[in-house]
Amino acid sequence: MIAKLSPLKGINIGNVATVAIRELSGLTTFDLRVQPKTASQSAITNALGMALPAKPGKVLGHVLCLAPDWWLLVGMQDAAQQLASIRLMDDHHFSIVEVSGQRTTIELEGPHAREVLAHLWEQDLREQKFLIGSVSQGLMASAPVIVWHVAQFRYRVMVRSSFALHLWEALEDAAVEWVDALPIR
Amino acid sequence: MKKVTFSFDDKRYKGLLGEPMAAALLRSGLLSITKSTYHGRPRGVVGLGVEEPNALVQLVSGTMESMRPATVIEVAEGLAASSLTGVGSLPDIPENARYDKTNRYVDVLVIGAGLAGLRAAEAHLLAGREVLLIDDQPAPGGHLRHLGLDLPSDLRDLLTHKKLTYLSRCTATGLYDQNYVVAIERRSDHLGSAAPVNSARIRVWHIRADQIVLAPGAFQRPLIFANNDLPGVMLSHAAATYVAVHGVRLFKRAVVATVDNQGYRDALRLHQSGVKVQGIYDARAEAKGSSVEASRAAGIPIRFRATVLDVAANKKGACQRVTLQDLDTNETYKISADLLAISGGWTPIVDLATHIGIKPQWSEEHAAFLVNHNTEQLRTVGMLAGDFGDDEHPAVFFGPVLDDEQARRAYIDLQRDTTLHDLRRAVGAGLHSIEHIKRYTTIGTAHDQGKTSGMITIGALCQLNGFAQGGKSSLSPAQVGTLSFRPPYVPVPFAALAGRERGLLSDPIRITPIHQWHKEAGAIFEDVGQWKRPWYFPKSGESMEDAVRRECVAARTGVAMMDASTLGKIDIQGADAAVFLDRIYTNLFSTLPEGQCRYGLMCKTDGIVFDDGVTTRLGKNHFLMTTTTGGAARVLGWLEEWLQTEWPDLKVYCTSVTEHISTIALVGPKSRQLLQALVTDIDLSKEAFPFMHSRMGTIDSIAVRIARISFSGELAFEINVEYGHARYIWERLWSLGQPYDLTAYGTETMHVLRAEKGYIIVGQDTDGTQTPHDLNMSWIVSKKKEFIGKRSFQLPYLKATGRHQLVGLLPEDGSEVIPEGAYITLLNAPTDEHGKTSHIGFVTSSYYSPTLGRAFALALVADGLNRMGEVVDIPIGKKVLRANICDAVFLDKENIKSQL
Repeated sequence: MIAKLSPLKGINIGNVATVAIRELSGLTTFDLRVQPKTASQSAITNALGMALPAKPGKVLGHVLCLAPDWWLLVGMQDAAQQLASIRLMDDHHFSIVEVSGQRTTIELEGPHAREVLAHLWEQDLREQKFLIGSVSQGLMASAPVIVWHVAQFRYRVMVRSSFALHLWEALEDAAVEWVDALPIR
Repeated sequence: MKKVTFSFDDKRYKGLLGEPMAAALLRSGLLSITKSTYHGRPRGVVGLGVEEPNALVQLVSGTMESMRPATVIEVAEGLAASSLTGVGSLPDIPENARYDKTNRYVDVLVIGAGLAGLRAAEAHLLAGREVLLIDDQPAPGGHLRHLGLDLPSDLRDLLTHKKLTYLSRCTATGLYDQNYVVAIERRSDHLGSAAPVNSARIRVWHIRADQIVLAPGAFQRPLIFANNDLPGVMLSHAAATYVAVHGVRLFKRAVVATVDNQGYRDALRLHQSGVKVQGIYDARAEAKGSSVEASRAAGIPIRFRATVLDVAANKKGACQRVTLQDLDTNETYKISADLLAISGGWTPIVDLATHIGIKPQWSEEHAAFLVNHNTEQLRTVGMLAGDFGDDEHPAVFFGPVLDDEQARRAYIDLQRDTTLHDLRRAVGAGLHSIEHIKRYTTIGTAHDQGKTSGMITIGALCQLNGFAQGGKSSLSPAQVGTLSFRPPYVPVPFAALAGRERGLLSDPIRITPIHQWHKEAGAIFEDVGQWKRPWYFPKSGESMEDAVRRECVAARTGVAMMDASTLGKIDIQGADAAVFLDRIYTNLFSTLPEGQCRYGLMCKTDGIVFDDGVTTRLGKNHFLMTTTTGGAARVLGWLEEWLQTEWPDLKVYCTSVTEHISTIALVGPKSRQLLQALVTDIDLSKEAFPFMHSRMGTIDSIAVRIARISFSGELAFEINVEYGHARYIWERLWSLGQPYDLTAYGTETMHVLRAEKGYIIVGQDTDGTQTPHDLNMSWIVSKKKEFIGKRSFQLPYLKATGRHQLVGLLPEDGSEVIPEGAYITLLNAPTDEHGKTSHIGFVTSSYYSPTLGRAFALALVADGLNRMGEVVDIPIGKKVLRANICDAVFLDKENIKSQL
């Protein structure tokens, strides 16, 4: 199997004692669109064997709810196959599209992770406002991103692949007080 | 404190690290720091901080920032500055310092770390809230620092509270709705040459706080009298601080003129520091309080109902003799003094509150405008809220009555050199609104925005307006009203506002997965929106013209490839996907068989062409749409708008896959042969894989979708592959293609190839007014169905003759490439009475075609489709080119080659 090349080649800088920034390459992702509270959604949750987070901004396991009828499934390689049988039935209206190459994921970890993000992110990152297990979309350094609060002091920024290098350089700049930048361009 | 050396006007001075430059200069004996902007009068330090109206300097070290008051510059080793007369200048050097910005959400923001701010912070911390405390001074304490006093120990402990963030040297520059504050933090200037390279010089803070406490404090204000601008005339609090705290020994004999008890306290400090205070001249009829008693006890002469009228200068232009006046008898007397310390009352800093529209209220008792605001979101405390302490008792007094000659020397705004005389002229001219007078006289428009001059302007207007309106007495400041302030509170360097959004980070650069290969191959790039696309791939020594010709020839006669990954791609699925596309595109898509592709054109409701691209039917209910590179986001938004607002009944979902899928276009007569060597599970023959068909297959076990789509008119294949494998496939093709002389080409060659076939680029060959019919594309407009824009085609002006239509142009001189954008006129068109010639259209695309062996162009020409064969003029400066109007398709009109 020929390895996939990720936009940032799996780069990794910094240190978790302050802040580490790394690309998590190769996360399989799917876009799932379906009307909530419909038979189609029930069929999907049955087939996936798990519930979908009910509100935009919520994360359940590896499923991010991005809009009332839009979910992102992260690292669930078999999702499309699991839904293949429902797909053949015309009475169910939904779409599942693989978008693994659409974005890459940059993870920030460490006590200063929030501070680094705050340089580029206008939304409220306070622990009690952007809870662990929350997700939000917006522009970071003018690039469209999804920000996911994965765990304490750990955030994922999912960025469109074409913008990844730009965002990486902006993050490096934001982290310059803690991290020695590496040449990447 | 550490001793450091700095320079001012090329002379070396000694100072203490971190002290204000003004203090170090005064201690070194320098009283006159600059000359005034318009009148050229010598000027010295007046105040203590950002309110300083005089002592502007230009830094000549570091970033060479201009127009900074010497009162706020902290002395550091290596600091160099020069005096400045009103007008600063930007250095002609690149700005290399770091600047950044950050966002902060917090429970409580306290602005001002004086006693009131610290106490407010303490209360919120005790209530368990997180507090951000910002203050523009190097250390907390506010007036305590000016008195040389330490913080009470409980407040010192407060600063280490784990829920408190304290930012020194951080000035709130604007307060906006929803408790949003912008502040600038000067992080490294005070460290001089020791500043770390990885720290931003200035950080802009965007702060959103659930609650804000405004504790900005107050500025002392001057009085209006003749020659009140002389060096040696200072605000009393500043003078006493420089003398008592900073060890300035420049002054021997002082006179204090006051309207409140602050003058007494400052007189005492001067007295205790060894300055002979020859008298306190108090405009009030009497004064009570501990400071008054203490001054009396110290033996300082006190005279009530007296104030300063005039000042005489010595040879150097500094204060030498003060003329005082009894306010009841008008009797005057003179006293020699080298320091005249003025205490004209306090002006609370109302700026931030007025930014959000709060109107300050006049308080006669405080002789000041106050803001007493107390809501859940915003609270004012300290002097701004009227907490002046119990030993102040100011009078409402702004200066003695001056005659015309004295008024010309009585300065209101020292930086603008505006006098009481100018103010009288303004009122004499009929102006009475303070806002009009500000603009007429320029008072309050300098770097300090009237921090000291604003209130005394109001004071002067009380008298002037009162008499001007026929009254016999003076108005109250409440009747005159205050100035409204706008952000920023202090000047902010543009570089700070730009932050890190400079150079490479000023705008995103979008790149494809094959970008690095293009770079290594020596591509010259072109900006297409935010994308960097290879423009052409010059070999060594080749010009752009050479490279493009070589690339064109390869595509037309051999095999060439380009990175088309930037094309917008939208996955469209659902039971109504075909119906939806029928409504979006002008042509039919429901009839498209599975596994086939069709070119589509979409219009907005006005019937004007909006975007185009090829859409492939992947399954019964599944399509993949491609859009123009620049149109991807626009088109997705357009599709979602119709689905969400107009046709929510349609069962369709759209998903952007622009970056998930990368596209490589392999073009040319030898493309099939080359690709077939790599693809073993798809028969690429004409019979098995016709034009405008799409097939799934693999290359080295990598899943690919290959489509016979051609944007060049040649035999061509588009290889679609997931992002992560694109570079591999590209390089595989590249190495396999060497025996075929495979050539990489860029956007310029793509343009030549498509223009030779008359394929439009929406946005280049259209100017936002073309219908499909104007583009000679009536063939793509279905008559059988409804679609967006169709009804507009019935509008009279879209059916009228004379519309700009797309045509081809062949210049008579085939070697002459007409400049794009050139206007087209009728042959030998006459000029009108102004010597002008009206045009009938313009050139949209123009290239040299190696295949045609000549230059050619596309153009939009009025009624162009009815002008075939007509010769037109194209004036280029003084030259006039001639060209023939022709069909826009220059090559292979029967479309044979792409179908081979």
